[in-house]
Amino acid sequence: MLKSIGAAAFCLLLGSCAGLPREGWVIGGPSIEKGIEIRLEREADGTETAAIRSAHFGDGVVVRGFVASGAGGAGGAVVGSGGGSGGTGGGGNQESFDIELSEIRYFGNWPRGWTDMVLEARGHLRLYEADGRWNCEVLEIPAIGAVGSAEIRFGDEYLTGDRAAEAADNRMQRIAAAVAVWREGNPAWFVRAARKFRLSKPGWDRGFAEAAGPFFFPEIYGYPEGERVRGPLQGADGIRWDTGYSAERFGEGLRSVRDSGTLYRDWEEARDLWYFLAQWPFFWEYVLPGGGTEISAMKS
Amino acid sequence: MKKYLLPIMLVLGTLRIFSLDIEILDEDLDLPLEGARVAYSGGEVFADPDGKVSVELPGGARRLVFSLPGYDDKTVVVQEDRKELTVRLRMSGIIEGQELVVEKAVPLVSDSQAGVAVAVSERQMESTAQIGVVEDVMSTIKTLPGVGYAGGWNARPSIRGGSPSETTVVLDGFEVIYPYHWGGAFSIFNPNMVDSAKLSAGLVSARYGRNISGLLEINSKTPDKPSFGFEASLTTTGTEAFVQAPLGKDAGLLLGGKLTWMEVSFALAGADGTFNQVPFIRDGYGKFFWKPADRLSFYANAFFGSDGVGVKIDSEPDEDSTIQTKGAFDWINLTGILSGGLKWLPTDTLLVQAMGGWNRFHERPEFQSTSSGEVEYSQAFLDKYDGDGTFDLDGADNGTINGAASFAVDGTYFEFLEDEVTDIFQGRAEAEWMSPAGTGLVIGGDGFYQRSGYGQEVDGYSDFFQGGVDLYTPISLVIDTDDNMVLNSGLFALVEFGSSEDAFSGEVGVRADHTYLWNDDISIQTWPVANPRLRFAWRPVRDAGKVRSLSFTAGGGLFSKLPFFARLFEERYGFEDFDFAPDRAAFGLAGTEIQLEGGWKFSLEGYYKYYFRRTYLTETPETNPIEMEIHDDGIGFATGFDLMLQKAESRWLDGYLTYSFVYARYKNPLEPVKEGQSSLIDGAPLGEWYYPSYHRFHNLNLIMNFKPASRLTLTVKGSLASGAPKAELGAAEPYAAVMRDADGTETVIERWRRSSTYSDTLRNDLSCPVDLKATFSDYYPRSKIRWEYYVGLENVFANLYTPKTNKSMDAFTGKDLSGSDEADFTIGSPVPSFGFKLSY
Repeated sequence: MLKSIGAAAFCLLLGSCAGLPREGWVIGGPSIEKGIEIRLEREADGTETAAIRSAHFGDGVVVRGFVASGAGGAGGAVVGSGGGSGGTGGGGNQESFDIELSEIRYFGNWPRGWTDMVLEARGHLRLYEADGRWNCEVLEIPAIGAVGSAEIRFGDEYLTGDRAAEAADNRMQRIAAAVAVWREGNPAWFVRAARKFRLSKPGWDRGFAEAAGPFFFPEIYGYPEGERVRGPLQGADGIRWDTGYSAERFGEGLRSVRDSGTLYRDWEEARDLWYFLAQWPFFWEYVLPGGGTEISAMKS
Repeated sequence: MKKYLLPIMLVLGTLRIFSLDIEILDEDLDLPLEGARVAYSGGEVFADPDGKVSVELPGGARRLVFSLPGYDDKTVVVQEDRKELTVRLRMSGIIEGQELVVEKAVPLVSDSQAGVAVAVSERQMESTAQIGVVEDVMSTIKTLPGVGYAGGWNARPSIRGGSPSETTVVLDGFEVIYPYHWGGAFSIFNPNMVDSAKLSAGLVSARYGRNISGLLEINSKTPDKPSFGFEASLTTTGTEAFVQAPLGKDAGLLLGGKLTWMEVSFALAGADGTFNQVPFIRDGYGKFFWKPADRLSFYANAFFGSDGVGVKIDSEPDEDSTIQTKGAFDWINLTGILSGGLKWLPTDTLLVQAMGGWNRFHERPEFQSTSSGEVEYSQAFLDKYDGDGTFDLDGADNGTINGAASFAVDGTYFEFLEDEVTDIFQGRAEAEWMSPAGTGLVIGGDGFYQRSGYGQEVDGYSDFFQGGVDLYTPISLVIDTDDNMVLNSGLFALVEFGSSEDAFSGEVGVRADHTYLWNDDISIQTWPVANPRLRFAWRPVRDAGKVRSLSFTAGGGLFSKLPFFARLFEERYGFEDFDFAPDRAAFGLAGTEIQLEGGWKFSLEGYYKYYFRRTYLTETPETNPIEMEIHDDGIGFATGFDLMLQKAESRWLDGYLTYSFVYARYKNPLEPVKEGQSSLIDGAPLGEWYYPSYHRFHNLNLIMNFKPASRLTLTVKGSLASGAPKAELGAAEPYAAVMRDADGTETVIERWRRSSTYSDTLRNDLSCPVDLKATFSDYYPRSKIRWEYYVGLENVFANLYTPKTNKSMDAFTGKDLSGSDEADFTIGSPVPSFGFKLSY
């Protein structure tokens, strides 16, 4: 059980104030300037943990890890010995916290059910203070592992245990595969989307759907301009899927799950998961460690 | 610990050892699967880099479970003489298709067996059971194939032409003798406590006795979830709440209840003054579940329910009648259930199940009324009797009877009291052993002990013919059968072969049932009856083109059940050992089912049931007090066919259509000793073939769920049923009766009667109710709390059409009673209902 540790708990608001001069990508604007939170807490057994939330992940995602010993700075252990001074953030002390990511907690619902799952994660961050500013260095790009545990409700039915974990993992893999296809073909979209849509506000969902929907599901959202139905059509789950479009745009594995309606159900029931997976590498590689990132700390 | 099991078994010398070489490969790539796990009773081993592993197993058939992360588990049963085994595992991971959708398959769909049973899940019951004055699982059951239309306010339908009392209802395997509220209007099974329901409409396994016309299995929710949960609802007529909580890692508890509050509805309708006690239902339910080990689980159920009503009777004189009647009708019904059971897998090939419990049913209806007022002799009566010298003793045609133009009914009364308490203790145990070939052998037994106390007292003015004279005089009927005991015991054995996945499957079994009845005065027993049963299914087509499967089913068997009034046995009926036997019938069925792509399923079944022993009651004529006679020479048959077209749950539309044609004829061979004499309880004619009162030739149901948006479901539930039998009425005629008071005073009064004889051709109007429901539901953002609103309208066209039957008649005036010709229960207008539910 987690236990908030009062004055030694931090709520760090990270913000990007500079562009990311990488391959011409430019980040900026109000949508990603705020909404990144790293909360440090101490469990009952004394273990120090970190919980990272971000508008880039969506409201239902919390990335968890534990605080390793301090490195590079003078602070040593963040919580406990250095807690008081650390809490002042920017007060002149040079501190750093190493955070080892261990898991991702996801919760999402849709009108007929919800998914609550914990995914394995691995990654190494360093949060440090320099010249009165907090910075974050990504020492190891975080990676998402398999679903460790899950609980699913669909209608009045519950899935728990291995069965739920397996089902959730299957969904994760399907979405990850689909997102990878799209990201490869549309690298700049995320930049534009990040500027345009406020993920934590109502409406991001619609914006994301408007952008990605026509690519994955033109039968629902309409074909991109200049494109038309390829055929033949295959009926599944009440929708007639364009198998020719699938063959043209997707690998063999994804075609069958798209043409069977499975991928669209993933889309309907866990759209935030699509965005999360799409944003994940982008966030760690470009958003968080961006040069000149300004980080301010605030006592919770 | 496990590593010590094998040596111990060797020392004991009870088992042989055989060695098995196993190779585990990827199904598609034929690559060896290093690290694949092989689990068996007593241990586990893992495949080497070549996908190979050797294992030593105790002799006999053994079940091996193969698993590897990323692959589907696979279970293989090996026999002792097997030396080598190659197993191919299929990848379960990414991008495999529809089966990987995060959606559980329709629950208990595997329990739906073509030709045997139709199962409905809680989700399927949402649209049809959660609507109306009382949300009831039976509202869904009544739409299934083979179920006769019962109309509203009746939760006891006929199954395939059988009497409703011939259907047995079990809750988690425990037989509940009378699971109803409000005299059978609704069942005690609340949709919020039920996980699924399964109706076997005729071909019931030899596991189950005491049924002739179907078995309804109610499976309650199992509190096995790892987290807290609740469901609460507020509707126009009541509120419900169910809470589920884990008790440690291996146990859970479900508690809930229901409470009606119809005071508000009746007050709004201005009818609250009609009741001394507004109709109520108060139910409490609890279930405990404990699974201390993977192979062992326990459960315990507790249910306590009550219902009742208190109605004021206060009829003022009106244009139809000058008689004032005052009185009351009070009803209370109590039901208690305590049951529990266990499931144990001591070995891979043996399953042991046991259950037992107690059930009490206590019903006490009481009616009492007194009448007063003056009734003028009608002209028709005077034309017939004025001055006849027999009843009008003055012999003068002067517009009076014995000098009076009217007669008084002051002081006439009628009282009825029934008090029935039945306690049941039952137990059941069975063991199933699976052979190496996958054939199951089941043996078991059950005991059903019933102790009944039944009292009935009737005292009041009634028409009575005695000594050639029509009397209107106090008569009485007294039944007092305290401590009547019935013990049913049964043994069964059966062989199950194949499964729903195999080309051939079925069951061959037999059960023997014995009954012993006794009280302080008598002690009788029946010959044991043998009930052999056979079911065979053939699935010649599977996954061929658009056809998922095509199957044919045939089977038959014998069934028996003690009539429900057997518990009223008394010495005076004159039965001795082996004179009496349970009702018995032979049943045969043949059917087919085809499942198509897209979730479509069509089934067609035809059946024939012959009753070769059926019990009925009559009353002895012209005796006061009335005496009953029991006859067991009734015969009958029921035949027909059922079809079902079903579209499984899908994005836009799902639902099903059922149609049942029923042809059922019974005969009570006893010749009537007077005109119009009929059997007691059901009023069936004597000495001729007849359609039972609940019979309807055609029964059609259509359930459709439209989902225009993800948060909205529109449900249409429509039924169309031909009418039930209707008596042929003669012309109403006045007659003179002698009202003989308790003090011997006699007055000639005017009474009216009309003949009412059974008709083989007359029927009530057809019934065609339509219900509509709109449901809005969603989850609160970022929470597991689900909300739901629904708006329902039952019997939408009630204002336009209601089926009619014969009108009742006022026996003092000969006038038809207004509003007495409704063939189905209706309040004369659509019934709206609203509900709000929260669940977590």
